[in-house]
Order: sequence, then structure tokens, then C-alpha cells
Amino acid sequence: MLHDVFEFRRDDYALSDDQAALQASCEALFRRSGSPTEEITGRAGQRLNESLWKEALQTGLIHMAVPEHRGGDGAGLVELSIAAEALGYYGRRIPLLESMIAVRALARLPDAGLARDSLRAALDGTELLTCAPTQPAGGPLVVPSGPMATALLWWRGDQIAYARMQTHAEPTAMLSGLPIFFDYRPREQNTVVLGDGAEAQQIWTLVGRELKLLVAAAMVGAARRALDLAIEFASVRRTRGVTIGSLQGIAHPIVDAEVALTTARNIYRKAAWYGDNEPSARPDLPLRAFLHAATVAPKVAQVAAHVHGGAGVALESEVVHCLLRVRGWSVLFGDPRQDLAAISDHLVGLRKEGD
Amino acid sequence: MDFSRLDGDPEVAAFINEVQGFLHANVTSDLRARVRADGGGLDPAFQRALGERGWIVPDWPVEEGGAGLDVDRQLILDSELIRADAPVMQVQSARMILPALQEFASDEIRDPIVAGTAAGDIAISQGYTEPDGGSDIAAVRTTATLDGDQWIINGAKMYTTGAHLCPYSFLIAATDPDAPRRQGLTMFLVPMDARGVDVRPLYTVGERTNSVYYDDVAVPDRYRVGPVNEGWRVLSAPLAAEHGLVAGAAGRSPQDLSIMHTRRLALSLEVAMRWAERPSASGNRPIDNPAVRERLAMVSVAVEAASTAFGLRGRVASAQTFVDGASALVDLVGPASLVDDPNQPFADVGRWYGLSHLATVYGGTVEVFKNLLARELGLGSPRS
Repeated sequence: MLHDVFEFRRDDYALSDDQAALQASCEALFRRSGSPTEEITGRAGQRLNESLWKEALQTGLIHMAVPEHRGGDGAGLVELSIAAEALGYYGRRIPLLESMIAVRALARLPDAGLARDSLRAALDGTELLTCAPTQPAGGPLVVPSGPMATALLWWRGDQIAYARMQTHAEPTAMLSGLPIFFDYRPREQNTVVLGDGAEAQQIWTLVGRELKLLVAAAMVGAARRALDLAIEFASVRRTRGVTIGSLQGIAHPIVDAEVALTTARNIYRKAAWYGDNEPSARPDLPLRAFLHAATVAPKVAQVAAHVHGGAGVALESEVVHCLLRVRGWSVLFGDPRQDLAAISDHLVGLRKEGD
Repeated sequence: MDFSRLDGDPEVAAFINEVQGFLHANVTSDLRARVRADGGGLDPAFQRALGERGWIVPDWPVEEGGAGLDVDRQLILDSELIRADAPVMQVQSARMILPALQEFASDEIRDPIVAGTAAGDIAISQGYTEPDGGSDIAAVRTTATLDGDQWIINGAKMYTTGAHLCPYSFLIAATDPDAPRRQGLTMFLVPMDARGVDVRPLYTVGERTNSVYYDDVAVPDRYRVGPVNEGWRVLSAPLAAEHGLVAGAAGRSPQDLSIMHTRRLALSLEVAMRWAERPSASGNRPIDNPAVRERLAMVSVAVEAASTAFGLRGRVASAQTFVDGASALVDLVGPASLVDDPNQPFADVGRWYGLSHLATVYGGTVEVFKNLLARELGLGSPRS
């Protein structure tokens, strides 16, 4: 079979009541825990929003990423991506995506030694974990949320490695505003190998896919925030006696953006569902979800910024920060199109299976 | 959220086998060639074969001419009809119109026409669009004037697909030209063999449709559908179905035309993949070129993404994706895709490309749907 649009499957993207409640509670938490002004003025800087992080831990946002038999609440990727989209929408300074993925990786390792201790520390809040996506060209690491983290997981050749973060390392100022260490080199004396071989490779492959899935969700959230701002602006800004949103030249690009963003949200939800329920059926889906979000979300945010006119390029406007945040996430793993090869391999593989 | 397999249920699997067996037996290469040559999207024998199984209105009870299918089975049936490239244009038309006929048609005509349409013996074209109106269905200039117990219809309709094959057209006419917009309109079921009906072919890049001229066409009052001057109310349900506004279980309606667009693009992608796997004269296969693989993958991602949107969003996403994706595949396959010969192995890429342009104007242009969405988003009524 070439493509799953002809597969006989249900096609339901709606959240369950529990998932909708999680979405509402995440949004409420992130909404009250900061303000756009902090982001815009740069006061938040690269520092951790400590009170929010504490609250996120208390409400179980990290626990839910870990299976119950390893001390967590055993939520799935669907739930994690709901939280990721809400975080993307509000742009708060906590390493939620990276920590959720890192603790999942630790929970997949044998329940012993540093992996066990680090997982426990992450769950009780004494350790703040991040993970570095593998860079296609190798070399120094890009560490998202590195300036906030106390420890790092990364892929060293054929090993899952753990390192304490160097406290003196200076964060790199990024146009995107994302807290990040660029060109980071963990010290050898700080590094411990947690796993190697085929099993470790499998775990790290999941780290990459799941982080891409959550980043896709976060991009959708940030672009949705930008779009909401644009709709609000277009509904009150007037020209020649009418609101600019009533003009097709403004309304139709907004609608196109909203439709595209709906598809980006739906495809990441679908990828999350497959990850939770049929993980081996569609290993290409997280890559598709990321690629689509990385294609769509920056365009949506650009349209949203443009609707604001001159205000849409001023650094004092929130919409610009949504745009830059989305752009930063879209290249976190390098060229967003690098997964096209893997997606096409999957496509060709499906045809061979069908022969 | 649920994407679980449907075919794990033995009863559903048996239904899938039944549908596939039916389509294998009935959608022959001869039938496809006939339908393509005519371009009207209807094969009377196939329509009757569908009707015999109750698959024209599959959700209706069996005793009313349907098959009593649940939403899952309806979606399976429609997906397989598209995959088989079966003529479904008049099936879709019947599904949109029949509920309105059932509710509003006169007692004298309702039962035979509804039953005949459900059985596949009767097909009904849609006489909405006018030369000066475009997507603005309410801008009706065709008139119907009461003369004794019959109506005299004068005017012209455009893009009446299947008018040369269907015995009836579901037509909107102005019965009170001085009334405010959307008032003073009335629906009729016009027998196409009436004197004064002139059907002229209008060939498009993908199919044959028609211009239909009505010159003093006398239609008995029993063919009026619904109250006089309340045609907009009668037409609202068929239009909502055409616009993808009818919600099905879990959001997806079997009537959602966006399903057809994205699946057709998937079919074109399948043909392009076959092209890519065939060695050229030099022995190289396009599929071994990473750039070709990646472009195929891009279309594949676009198909999958657009497939996730329903209703109005689905209409916009699927139409635009169909146009862009079909064009990208023509780029890849090159001149071989544009050979106008159905026997050529890659000609379907060109055929789907042609049809993709119709997707942006079916049942109103995508701009109409964008206007509706703009309103939904709180942007007010867009102005031109």
C-alpha cells in the first residue's frame, strides 16, 4: 500500500474529556505564570521561570512522561504533546519538552545506577534535565534549554551519555530568544555513559522522534498564538471605515494560515496517537509531523506578523517573538527538510511491502 | 482521538471484501474508458448496480432504498469508490439532493423520484450556477413564472455536470425578482426532456460539464420542490453538504468532498511512484535520485496533512493541496504525464492534474469557503 489515506482506519482527532481537561489546566498554568511583557523586554532572559517549573513539577507535568512502573503517571505522547502545544502558545521559560523526553529516555534504560538516580532526581525536582538532538554533521552540540538545565543527555557516537552541565557556560544569544547552548562541548570528566549498543541506539532514535513530535506541537502552539494576535488585531484595526479583517486581502491569508495550522496540529496528534498505540506502524509520522509543522508554522507566524503591519516587525510586539520562537524551533535539528530522505525511504519501503 | 484499524472486525473485513469484489467486477477498464470519453461522471449501468446494493444512499434504511451502513462503512465504501476511480459524480449529487426531495418534494412526485434515484434508475444534475453569478448561487436571473398550473422557466445555467445524461435537474429560479436577496427563489425538479431545454457541452480540463439554456420551458407545478419563494431554505441542506458543512461521526462526514481530492492526489502519487521506479533508456531509475525521492516525499506529506482536515477547512486544504501536489508531480514525470491517451502508463498524472483545477471551484470557489471561515474566525464579512 502506497499511502495510508486508503487504509481502513478511524479518523478521529478530537481530544477525550481527560485530554481536554489536561489542555485546559496546562493553558491555565502557563497563562498565569508570566506575561508577554517579560518576553518582549527580555527580562525573562535565558533564566528558568523557577516558580512555574516548581508548579509544573507539582502538577505532574514531568511525572506524566514516565511510565508508572518507573514512578511516573504513565501518560502517552498525546498528553505530552498537548502540554507542549500549550507551552509553545505561551512561550514560557521552562525546559518542559526536553525534560519530558529525557526522563522518558532514562525510564527506558535499565533501572539501576545513574539512570535510576537521575530519573528520581528529575522527578523530585533536584535535577533539571535536557537532551541534545543529534546534529546531522556531528560536532559540538546544540543544547535546547541548556542554560536552565543541570544535566544533559546526548548521543556520543554509539552511546547514550549523561553529563552535568558546566555552570559557567555562557548561553548564546539567539535571535529566536530560545534559551540555548550553541556549540556546547560536555567535559569528559563530567560524562557518564548510560547505555550503548543496539538497545541504546533504539532508545536514542525514540528520543529524536519524540522530541521532534513535541517541538512540532510547540511550533503549532506558538504559531497559533501569533495567529490569535493577528485575528484580534485585524478585528479592531480599521481602514476606510471597516476593520481590516473584513478585507479579503487580509482575511484570506489569515484563513489559509488557520487551515494550514489545523493540518499541522492534526498530523502531530495523529503521530502522537500512533506512538502511543501502534509505535511500529508509522515510524515516519513524527518526522512528517515535524516537517509539516516546520514548514507551516513559520509561514503562519509570518502572515500573522505581516497583518500587524509595521508593528509586526517591532521587537516590542509579541507577535514577532512568536515568529522568532517558531523559527528557532524549526531549525533546532538542522535543516527541517533533512528528514525527507527518511520519509521517502519509508514510502519506497511501503511499496515494496505491497508488491 | 482514535485511528485504530477498522478491518480487525471480521464483519467490517467482510464488508471490505464485498466492496472490493463489487468494484473489481463492475469498474472495468471498458467502463472507465466509456466514462472518460463522455466526461459526464455517470455510467447508468454502474449507477444501477450501486443502487441495487443500496450504496447510492448507503446510510438510509434498507426499506427506503439504502443499505443501513454506519459511518465507518460509508467511509470505506466511498474511499474504495475513489480508489477504483469509479464514476461517482452523480452518486454525490444524489446524496446531496435526495434529503431535500424527501422533505420538500410534492406528494405526486416524491416517492417515485426518490425511490428511483436511490435505486440508480434516475440521476439528477444540479442547476445552480449561472453565467453572471459564478459562485454566488443567490444571484439568480433564471426566472420561473406561474402560468395556470405550470411554471414557465427562462434563463441559463452553467456547469450543470451530467445534464446530458440525467433525466432531471434540481434547479433554482427566481419567482419574485423584486424580492430581497435569497428571498423570492424557488426550487424545481425540471424534466430535461421538456421542450425548450437546450443542453450544450462545456469541456473543461478534466471533464465534460454543460451549459443549459431554458427557453419558455413549461414545468408542471408538481415539480416544484418546497414552498414558493422559499427555495433558499430548500437548497440550504444540499449546499451545506456540498460545502462540507455536514458533520459526521468524529467530525468526518462521508459526504465530505475533500476526501475525494486528497485521495485522487494519492492516486496520482502512486502513478508517479511507478514512473520513478521504471528504468530510463540509460538504465537509471528516477527513484534512485535523492532529489526525486524527496519531492515525492514532499507530496506524500502534503497529502497526509491535507487529509487530516474536515469540512470547510478540508475543502480549502484539499483543493489547494491537490492543485499544488498534482502540479509538482507533472513537473517530476514531465511530458509523459501530459500525453492525452489513457493507455499511456503515466497519463493519469496529467489527468489528475487537470481535474485538480476543478477541485478549487467545485460547489463554489475556495474563496467562498474562505469567506465562510473568515466569518467563523470572527473577521466579519470579507469585502472584495
